[in-house]
Amino acid sequence: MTFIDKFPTEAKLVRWHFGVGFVALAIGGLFGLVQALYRTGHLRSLLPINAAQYYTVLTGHGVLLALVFTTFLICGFFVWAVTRSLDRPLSHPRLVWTGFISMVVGTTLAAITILNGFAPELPFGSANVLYTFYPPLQAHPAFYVGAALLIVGSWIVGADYFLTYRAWRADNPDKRIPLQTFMVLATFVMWYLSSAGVAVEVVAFLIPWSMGWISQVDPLLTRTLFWYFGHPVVYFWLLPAYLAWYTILPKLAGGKLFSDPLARVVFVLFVLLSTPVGFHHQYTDPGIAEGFKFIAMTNTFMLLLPSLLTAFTVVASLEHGARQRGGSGYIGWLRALPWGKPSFSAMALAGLVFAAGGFSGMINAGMNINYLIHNTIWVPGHFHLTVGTAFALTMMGVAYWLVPQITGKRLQHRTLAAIQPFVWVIGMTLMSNAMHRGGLAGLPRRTAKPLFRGEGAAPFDPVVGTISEMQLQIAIGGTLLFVSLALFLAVMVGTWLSRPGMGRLSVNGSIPSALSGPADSPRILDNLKVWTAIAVVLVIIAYGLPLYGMLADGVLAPGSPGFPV
Amino acid sequence: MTRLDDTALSRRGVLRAAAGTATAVAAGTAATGAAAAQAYDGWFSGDAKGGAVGNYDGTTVDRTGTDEVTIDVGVDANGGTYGFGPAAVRVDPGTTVSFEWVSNTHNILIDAQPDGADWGGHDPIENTGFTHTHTFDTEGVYTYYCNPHLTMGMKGAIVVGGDSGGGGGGGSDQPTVAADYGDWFTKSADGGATGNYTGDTTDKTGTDEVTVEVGADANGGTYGFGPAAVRVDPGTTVTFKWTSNTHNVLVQAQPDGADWGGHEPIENEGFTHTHTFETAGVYTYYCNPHLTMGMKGAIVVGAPPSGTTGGGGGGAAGSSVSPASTLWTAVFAGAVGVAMLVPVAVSYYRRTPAPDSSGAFDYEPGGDTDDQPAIPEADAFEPDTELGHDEYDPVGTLSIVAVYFLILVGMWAFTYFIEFLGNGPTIMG
Ligand code: HEM
Ligand SMILES: [Cu+2]
Ligand SMILES: [Cu+2]
Repeated sequence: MTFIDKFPTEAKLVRWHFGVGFVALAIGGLFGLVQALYRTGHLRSLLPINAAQYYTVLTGHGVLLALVFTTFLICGFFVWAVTRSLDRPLSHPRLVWTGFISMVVGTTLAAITILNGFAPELPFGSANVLYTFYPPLQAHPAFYVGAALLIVGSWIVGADYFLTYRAWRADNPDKRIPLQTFMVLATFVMWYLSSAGVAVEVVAFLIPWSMGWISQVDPLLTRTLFWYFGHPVVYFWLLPAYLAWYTILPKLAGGKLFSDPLARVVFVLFVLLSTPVGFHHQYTDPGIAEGFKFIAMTNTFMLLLPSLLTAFTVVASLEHGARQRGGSGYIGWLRALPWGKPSFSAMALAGLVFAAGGFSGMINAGMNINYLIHNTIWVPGHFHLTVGTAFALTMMGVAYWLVPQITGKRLQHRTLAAIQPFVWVIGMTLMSNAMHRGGLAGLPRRTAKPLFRGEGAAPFDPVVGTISEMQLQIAIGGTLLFVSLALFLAVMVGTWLSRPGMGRLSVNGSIPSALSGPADSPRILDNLKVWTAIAVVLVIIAYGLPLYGMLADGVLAPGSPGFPV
Repeated sequence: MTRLDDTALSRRGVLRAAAGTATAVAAGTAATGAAAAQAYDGWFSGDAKGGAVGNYDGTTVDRTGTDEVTIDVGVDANGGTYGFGPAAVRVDPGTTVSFEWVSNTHNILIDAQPDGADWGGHDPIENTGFTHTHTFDTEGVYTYYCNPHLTMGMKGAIVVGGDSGGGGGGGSDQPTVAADYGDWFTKSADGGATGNYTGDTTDKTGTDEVTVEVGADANGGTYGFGPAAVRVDPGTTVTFKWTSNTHNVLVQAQPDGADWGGHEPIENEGFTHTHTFETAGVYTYYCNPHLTMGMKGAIVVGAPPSGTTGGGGGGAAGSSVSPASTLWTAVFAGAVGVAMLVPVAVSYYRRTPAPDSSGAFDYEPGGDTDDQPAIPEADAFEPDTELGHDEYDPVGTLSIVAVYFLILVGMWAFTYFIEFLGNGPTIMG
């Protein structure tokens, strides 16, 4: 039976989460276009912003896409995954609604303070603090309250995943946890563990500081708390994409997941290793001993393992599908895959782009080589491959498949949907390669200024190409990305506005069991309590001493007053 | 120019600064170049660094005839406590001005003061209750700002003596632009001094087409732009004519909103590059291969300032954000509002009754009931030949993953050994 008929309440929850997420995607994507044009100096005079408002746009882009769009999509997607795989309704749907409303209120507060940057004469403060909101940059208190409500809301939603699982466990004492639920719970264990850091940062320091209750905060401490959360958050974005690649993509390819136990091992590794790595974003921060950075680097490189395992398992599952569809040869089978089906092509292309992102991630992670690209436009080049494509494009693929099932409506504008993922990948290839090369040549990120020769940065000459050619590629790539996004939204709005019950859907919601199931894997894999305990120990090892050092000289010292922006 | 402009040129320097991005925001604005000179040379306009000043309405408060004048630091303005009150004030020579802090974390840095003046401002950041005094003896215009809140528009000006100072009247609609190149032609700028810049700007206003030679005899070879500095009217098409080999034209700075891209490829004798300069302001450019020889140039677009001390423009000086930003706000508020309403509209749509003809029914989620059938899905995919676990060898996957791994290692090696080790210290140096 179609998901909406079987679980109407849950389908409605998923719809609302996706709806809000797509609104954030639309606004954030528009901002992305503005940035890509403004900072490269193309059509600059047509854009109704000035250089200071560039940072308003940039804050809006980062917050709405990396924090809001992701969180709503993930929470909604997981509602579907838990319900479907446990084959039972949520135990406390009201709890999930509460979390959802908290997230909506938080998002609205934060969005108002950010957008007010366009009209400083209005009384809503402002918040050009970028999505990393580093002190001493200071935003209006409502921005921080909004961020806190967003995170707390996701915790509340997450609580019901666990409660529903507990109810299921009571009825099924001996069964293995279904894979999707296992993945959801593992992701949320990691999320609770890591987002506690940013919650402390915001609630204990930034809110009191922006309200004027405390006059200063210690920037190093707050940054450390931010990155304690800031790296795991990228796995919070990525693991839902992995969930889709492991459990939905093989089916769309016409095959089965290659190995269920391997998938569990991968998620366990992420629970263990995602959090004790945050210092790799602070390689250039003074005040943290090299040794702690080194531990973070080692852990980071260990994180390559689960990603390589994923590459293997997912590609093997696709190959299985392709061979079942009559594909053959060493690479010839790739042609047998259903590239014309948007849900498939979006997810598969997202995986391909992610493989390219793995390369720049390796460079970022190296403690010394990181200095080459730190704070250059290489870094946005990297994360538009990961969160900007591996996550975002995968979720678009999920939407093409899932939105019909949660609305009961047939997917509209199918041709637009079929070309959309390819336009996205072309745009991203242009934008991201140019960003990577520009970064190597010393082009900084987060600047409103079109720099034609890496002014003020490392005096490198580009290895290949010229700076203005890169700027042009960023502008064209950004435009194509925006076009692709518009196509996606047109398909979604069209589908959403169409009438339900107009006949057979084009998608099928059943998911076949894995080629090699969980039955013969060790049961300890499912024991999340054990893994959580080990993860906590690893976090204490990685963060205990450095945090103690930062606190020992006074919680608020060495401190800095705020610089409202 | 000023301290901030210098930091703007060193991005890494900016990042080192405690205020991090806060300064970068300021630098972004500061870097947008000189612009139309209005009252106080445009100091209060949106084009100057820090942007427009909300509490400057074009009037200069007259405090002549008083020996002691007070200016409040951190009055309510500019979206917070980010104003100098009053923003612009006229005093007699010899007047002692007290700056009194009425809110926290401000300082006073000097943007410009007359030759021979010795006001030092007050660099340390101070809180409510602090006072800084200075006696202004030298006549002329002083402009100053609060560094932490420059981007909010916390700027001020003092006119000492005279009667031609600040908020002077009228002037024509034509923007006036001073031929101010900062230190661009001096030896303290990138590339050193420019031999063929004599301190004069060749006036080509009134001509529609102007030619600049690229590679004129100068600077110990064919390493000059001829003329090095030229003034043209807005809308003039300038032709850059290569008169010797291996030069290019890169833009160093241009006004906010200008779109000149220069000509980055290196060209030889006979090549021409043309651009029409619409936006008023100062453009500076150079030839990259011969920058170190001093091959630099500048173009000033706009009329020369007519008056003496800071005359010109008058009341039009931006008292708040530009109209464009209001438009932007309206569009966005609208877009956000509409976007937020979409899900609501959608759920109402569902309730509207179905047209009878289409055979559709008023669907309620929940499946097969008396009133409606369940929504049917597509059929699941059934392979012709099912491939079980034991028959399946993922050889294709193994080869793809192996190739990927090799690419990964190769690119890493390239980045590490060529890009990283090959380029010597960067940020550390
Ligand atoms: C329409 C497609 C998009 C375009 C054209 C675009 C363009 C850009 C550009 C040019 C920048 C660099 C700005 C700078 O450093 O000065 C940027 C930054 C960023 N983008 Fe995107 N982007 C797009 C989609 C996305 C998506 C889907 C995500 C995440 C889900 C994303 C997340 C980010 C983040 C987190 C930043 C960094 C913001 C900061 O530095 O504070 N972008 N984007
Ligand atoms: Cu990280
Ligand atoms: Cu101030």
